[in-house]
Amino acid sequence: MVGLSRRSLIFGGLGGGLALSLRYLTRSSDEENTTGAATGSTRGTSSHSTKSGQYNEWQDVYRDKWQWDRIVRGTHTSANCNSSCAWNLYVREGIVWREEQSAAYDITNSEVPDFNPRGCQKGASCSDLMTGVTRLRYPLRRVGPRGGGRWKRISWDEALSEVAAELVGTLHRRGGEGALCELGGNFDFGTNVASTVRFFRQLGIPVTDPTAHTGDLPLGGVMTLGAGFTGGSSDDWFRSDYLVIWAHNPVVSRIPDAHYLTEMRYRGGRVVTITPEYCASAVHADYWLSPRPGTDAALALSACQVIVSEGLYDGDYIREQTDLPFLVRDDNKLFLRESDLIPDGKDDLFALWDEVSDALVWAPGTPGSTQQTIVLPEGVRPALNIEHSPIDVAGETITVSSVFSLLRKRLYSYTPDRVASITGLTSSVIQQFAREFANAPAALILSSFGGCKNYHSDLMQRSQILLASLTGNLGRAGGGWRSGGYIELEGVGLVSMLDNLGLLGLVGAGVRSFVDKKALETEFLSTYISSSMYHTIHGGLLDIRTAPEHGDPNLPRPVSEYLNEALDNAHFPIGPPPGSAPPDVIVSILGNILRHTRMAEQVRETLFDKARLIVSIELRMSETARYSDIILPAAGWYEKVGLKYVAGYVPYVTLADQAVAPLADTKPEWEIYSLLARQIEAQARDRNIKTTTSFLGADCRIDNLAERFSDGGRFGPLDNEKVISYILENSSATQGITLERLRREGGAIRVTGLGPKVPTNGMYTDYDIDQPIVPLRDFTEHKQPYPTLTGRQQFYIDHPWFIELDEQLPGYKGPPLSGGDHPFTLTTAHTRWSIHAMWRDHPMMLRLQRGEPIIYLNSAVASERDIGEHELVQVWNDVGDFSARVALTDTMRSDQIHIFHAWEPFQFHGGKSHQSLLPSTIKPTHLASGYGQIHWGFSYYEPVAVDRDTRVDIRKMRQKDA
Amino acid sequence: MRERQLGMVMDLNKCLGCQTCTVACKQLWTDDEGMEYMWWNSVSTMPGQGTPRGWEDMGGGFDNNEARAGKLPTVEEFGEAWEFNHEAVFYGGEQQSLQVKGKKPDWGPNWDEDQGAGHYPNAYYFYLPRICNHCSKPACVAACPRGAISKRKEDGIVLVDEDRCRGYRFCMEACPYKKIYFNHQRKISQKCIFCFPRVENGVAPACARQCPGRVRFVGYKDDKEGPIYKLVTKWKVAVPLHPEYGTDPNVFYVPPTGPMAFDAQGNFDAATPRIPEDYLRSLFGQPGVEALQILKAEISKKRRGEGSEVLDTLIAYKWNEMFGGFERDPQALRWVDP
Repeated sequence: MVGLSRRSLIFGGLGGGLALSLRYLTRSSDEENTTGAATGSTRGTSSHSTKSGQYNEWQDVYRDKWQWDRIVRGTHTSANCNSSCAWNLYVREGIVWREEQSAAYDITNSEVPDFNPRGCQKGASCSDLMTGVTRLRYPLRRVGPRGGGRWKRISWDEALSEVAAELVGTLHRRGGEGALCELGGNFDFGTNVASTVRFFRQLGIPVTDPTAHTGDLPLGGVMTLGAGFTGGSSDDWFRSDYLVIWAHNPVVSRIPDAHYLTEMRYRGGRVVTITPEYCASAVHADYWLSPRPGTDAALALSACQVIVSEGLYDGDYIREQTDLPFLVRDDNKLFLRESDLIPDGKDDLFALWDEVSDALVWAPGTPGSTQQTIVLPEGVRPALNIEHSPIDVAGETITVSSVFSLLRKRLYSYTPDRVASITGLTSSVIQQFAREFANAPAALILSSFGGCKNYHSDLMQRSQILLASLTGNLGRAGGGWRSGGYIELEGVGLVSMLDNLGLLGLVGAGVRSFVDKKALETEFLSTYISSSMYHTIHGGLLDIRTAPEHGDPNLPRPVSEYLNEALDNAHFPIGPPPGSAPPDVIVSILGNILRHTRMAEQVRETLFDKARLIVSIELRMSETARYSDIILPAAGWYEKVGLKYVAGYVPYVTLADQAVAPLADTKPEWEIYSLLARQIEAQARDRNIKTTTSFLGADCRIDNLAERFSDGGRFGPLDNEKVISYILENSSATQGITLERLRREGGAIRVTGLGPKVPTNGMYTDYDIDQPIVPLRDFTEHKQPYPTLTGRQQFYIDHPWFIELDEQLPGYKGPPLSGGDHPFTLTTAHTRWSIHAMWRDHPMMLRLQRGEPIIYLNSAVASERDIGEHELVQVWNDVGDFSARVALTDTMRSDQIHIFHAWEPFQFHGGKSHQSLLPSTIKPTHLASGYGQIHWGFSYYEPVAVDRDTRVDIRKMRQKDA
Repeated sequence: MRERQLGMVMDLNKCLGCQTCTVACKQLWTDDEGMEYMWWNSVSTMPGQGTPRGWEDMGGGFDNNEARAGKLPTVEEFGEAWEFNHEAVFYGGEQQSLQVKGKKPDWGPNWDEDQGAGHYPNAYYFYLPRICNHCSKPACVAACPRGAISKRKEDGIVLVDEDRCRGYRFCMEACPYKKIYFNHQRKISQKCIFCFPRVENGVAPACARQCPGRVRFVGYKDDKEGPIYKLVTKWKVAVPLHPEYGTDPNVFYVPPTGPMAFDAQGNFDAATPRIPEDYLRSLFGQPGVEALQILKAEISKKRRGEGSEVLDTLIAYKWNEMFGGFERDPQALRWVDP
């Protein structure tokens, strides 16, 4: 293989080219209908026509290269990019030779550009990745020490029986808590995630919910809207007049959608990019603002200050849609509730002051209200400016103020002059930004996962949403605040969660009962645990994540006190109680825990080193796979039928069809788990073990596991495709969309609905098949209550911890000195060159970079420190260090060092990645629960991994190290 | 036969630097032995040295209608196709980091990505995608003593005849854009073929049809309904790169705007463009500066609510209309064994 390219194997001899038997070309008969006006004209043809028969000229070699046996629909199912793209896979002689976008997307309507062609360079080279040097091909057993890089090829029988033996023994000895499924973020909406969760759930083994652990939960969105991922479709960006890309870099991380940004500027809109560094999205902006890292909330609040003081806010909107007119007691800072005024009154009925009748009225649409609408009663106009107004409560007089007046008072601290000194932007720039945002017909803040990774991200997001709300933009076409957004396929949950799939029978009814919110929560609680908190409590990260020196220095109490209270009251599921023995078996799937965990070495030492067996079910040799004992190689995305997850950006369900047989000795996950279930069943019977105990203490039958996993034989090991059909049939967004149709219609078909409206990923809006998706219209147009305590966009949170921390309202708090008092902030961001670690070590991608990790460093700083271009340097702080080469640039601030994500540790000189110096300190508000919208939920609310506030220094490597 | 010329317009205000074009071309055409280091399509961060390193200073073009020999770029200057030690890292039983085998590189085809020029906070850069310009006055054709390079009459595509080529590399010296590569296995010169097998079947080149940024317009220059005529001739918002090289390229660029610059106090400075006009002039000549003015005037019109044919063309509401009639979907083609 060495020295030969893949192509030379496929087309060996073609270089000489003379012996080919050339095929000739016809155009299919249905084609006249699809190519439109140009067909038959001379505009789009060349008179040079393809010759048939034998070799005539050297050009025929090229003509022959662009030939194929068949085209199969494909996509990249568990690459975990938020972009689903429909590709055609060009198959020749049994090999996927290249891929080209299928361009399956219909025009939504004539007012917005279409979605075509979608894709990126990773997708365009996936056929190379799937057969390349990083791909796993055979079941492997470690030989020698863990991570030592020595392996023995074994058979599937050997591999599966070893894994089954260890699982059966462990489950018998310790129950489900003796094992752990490390689920990563590389989800699909097909059998990959469904089979994984189904398998471990049936064994009673906890599965980690990865979202917070990867740092991707928009908690400020949850706090304010009761939902985190409410983003709409990307074609709606085109309709914005003022689009603010904030702590986000879509030109790099949303490549297939980014054209809407450049095109909306040609429509007459303006783009503002707010990032510390002059990033690729700044290049395409009208304005680029570079606030000091971690000061974004101050900027947003200053814009709010300008808007409020200049009267640029939308009064009618905030009266109806927000809690800003709600009354708050001055004495205890809690909302004024019915229970304050009436014995046995409700504590979820909240007060407004009606300026028309000059009387107190109860806000409709809160949980305690009898009205399930937020429409204000006829003739009622809530006052916004109530300040210290006296009111009688249980015989004594107290004073109350409206949230709006409290907010206005708070905003005095954020005048442009004051915020200029915080952010480093001038007051004139801040004012212009505020006024242009307020005056734009539709202004949109594009936030994303980058905005989730600061210690005070919640404050930043709450402040951004406030800006969008004061100006009436949430719920407006081309306006609002957008972070993520998914269209859930309930069928995935059904396969994951229900033993007896046959019971459902009726599609609609089954879906409806399953998405019942309470039932869903129960199911999730018996399956998932918080990855973030599991690894904190059990994975050795507790000390570093609660060390006071890395967090907010002004906390009223140490964060460990909040944490203990949270643990005592089970604010989130962490599996076994603190102090339990580490798991004996760890199975890593759909992720790469030893790559993406902040301080991953600590997790390795605490959990992995103590496990009896580590198993990776993987496509490629990741850092975690390297550290495993047994590798079960999975079939690639072109080698099995699959479905990509449906991101809200492009409301299409996307098929990954099987183009070729699984590479070498690999198998689809459904088959792997099916066979493993058989082994477990057989071994349990041999050992006369009938049941074991789930991690929550319930009985789990394992002596009939194969029966359970296959649903009584309904879905056998080779029935992967049948399961996919089941998912499509049983999901509300894919009614009438079949595999057959997907194959015929370009591999992507527009969804028939937006799936369930649930806080994890609901967009809460209407769905029109010929319109871009604008989230939150359920509330802004249909006046339904928001899923928050107040039934409104909620800017005031009277949870005691929030009050104690003075975060009941959005505010700005300076970033902590995480990692120590060092001169640079380490800013991190998604790279264009990989989807997390996938493609990160792919030779073709590396050749278009520098082949190894680099950091970007301001040129003037480098020169002061005598650091030269491409020099190897060490970046360090109080908790760790890593080494990388330097790219000098003036696109960086002098107080930042920038590294793009997802290099595998083994790609760094010295084997340590930048994750090894990220303390990822827990913030107390993230630990809260028991308050309206604030509680744990799958991919919803729990402490987020943070890294953007990490302080570092840099030094030249000594010659001998370099 | 009617002589026609195909052209391509690349809108630098839409280019994302994602290199999908680069990879699409690599996967389709340059995956054979001897071609590993070739990137017939490349995208460089500008200002920058690009590939081959410092190509703008390597010379070539014409001297009194005779091809002028510039520098012959080396493989190292283009950037080698590095091999990596994955096998050793994964299966070799030694603790070593993943790295390029052999000599450590100091250049690659995209080495200076996102570095740019200027000084914070007024640093600037943009992406410049490049293919063979399929020039109307190609220096490579003039330089080849074998007559191995020709320009097709029917569409103006410039091709190196791989049967005639003897590997003298005069073409590489003469091409002022340094977009010709040498195949050291086969001892011939190779370069972008404007996807002629696709074009011959009404399908746009892969770099254009696969571009997610919707940057590239394709078509005959004389097709008055097509985007090339509209953008280049009618509206004059697209101009050739380095017109002073004298080869009359048929790839045209919509020059880049940049975000508003800051003055010394940190306030917005509307008067000084972030991308210096002189720099744009050095790339596109005075027509580039004028093209940008036209574009900005059109954007102002849009902001006032007026229509703009040129901007609607650049928006490309219907993706397929970017391809000047070369809009056939390749999946509609069927290959039949003779």
